[in-house]
Amino acid sequence: MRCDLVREYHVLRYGVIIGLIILVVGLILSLFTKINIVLWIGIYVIISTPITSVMFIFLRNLVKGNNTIAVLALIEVLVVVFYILIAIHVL
Amino acid sequence: MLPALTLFLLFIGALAVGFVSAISGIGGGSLIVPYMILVLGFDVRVAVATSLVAIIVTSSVAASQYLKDRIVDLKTALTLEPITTIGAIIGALITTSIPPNIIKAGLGFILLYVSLSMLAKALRRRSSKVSAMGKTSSTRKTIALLVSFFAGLLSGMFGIGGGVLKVPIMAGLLGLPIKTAVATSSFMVGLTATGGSIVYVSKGIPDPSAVAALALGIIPGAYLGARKLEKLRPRTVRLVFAIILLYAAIRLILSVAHIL
Repeated sequence: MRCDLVREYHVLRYGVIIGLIILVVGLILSLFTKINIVLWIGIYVIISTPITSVMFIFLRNLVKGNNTIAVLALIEVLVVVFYILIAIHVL
Repeated sequence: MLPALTLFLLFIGALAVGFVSAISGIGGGSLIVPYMILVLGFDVRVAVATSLVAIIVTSSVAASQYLKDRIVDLKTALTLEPITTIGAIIGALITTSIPPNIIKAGLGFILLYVSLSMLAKALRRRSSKVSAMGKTSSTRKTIALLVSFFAGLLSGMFGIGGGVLKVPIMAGLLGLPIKTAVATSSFMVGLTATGGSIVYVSKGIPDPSAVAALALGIIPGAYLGARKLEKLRPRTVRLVFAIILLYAAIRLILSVAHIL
């Protein structure tokens, strides 16, 4: 199994690039049509980029058997997911 | 949607912030937030939230290179980060529930600390060497965790990266080489800013068009800064911007006291 095909730095770099492209499209759309939804999608893509890279770190280290890093990465993901669940429940 | 002129001014400001960040090594947030509040007249919460999302962009670009070069200490980063993210979430929740003047005053005092430490660094003739400590005691790890939590709290509250606290604890307390500490901090800053940003975005506080203008300006600015790094004297740049930050800090504090 190739677990090194997509690495965490690819996720960080291309996640941000994709987010920025969506933001540019959203900005142009917003300037001419007042539609903001694309801008918000860009923001969501940017915000989810770092935590997605941590998910990749978790999966890669789990496959490699490096359990310490995998567990630490999982804890970080769980902290963020836990807050999102609370926020959804409260809001 | 912001007026085109405001977006243009944000873009120009972000170019300058990116340029300065690359040369002086200070984070973008400590410059973006006062610029948005004092120059462009943004609401303090909108400025903090927008800055946090922009910080994710800059730190992710830097961290991707550091991860590729394998200079990020993942174990240290992932040990400290959960508590830092919790700090950022709590910090952001505090900011969304306290009066704006208290946030402004707090930000003023944080900038005062950052500017004075920058001034001290710029005026110091010789750079201080960090001693590698090798094995770290449990007391040091506990202190590192507490300081990390505090760095997260400040990041979530004031829209700054928190690298100003993270790098010294990793280099000084945990004995990481300074290059590894900077790289690890850069990776952590993006995750910390994510924690704070989730709170603000869930409440719809950041201005999406402002985020776009900032993010699009800050990256080319940092690229230009990195290219001009050898031609400029970092000490002089650091000195000039320490004075600007000091001025911003004093203006923020005095604006709360209704003196300015």
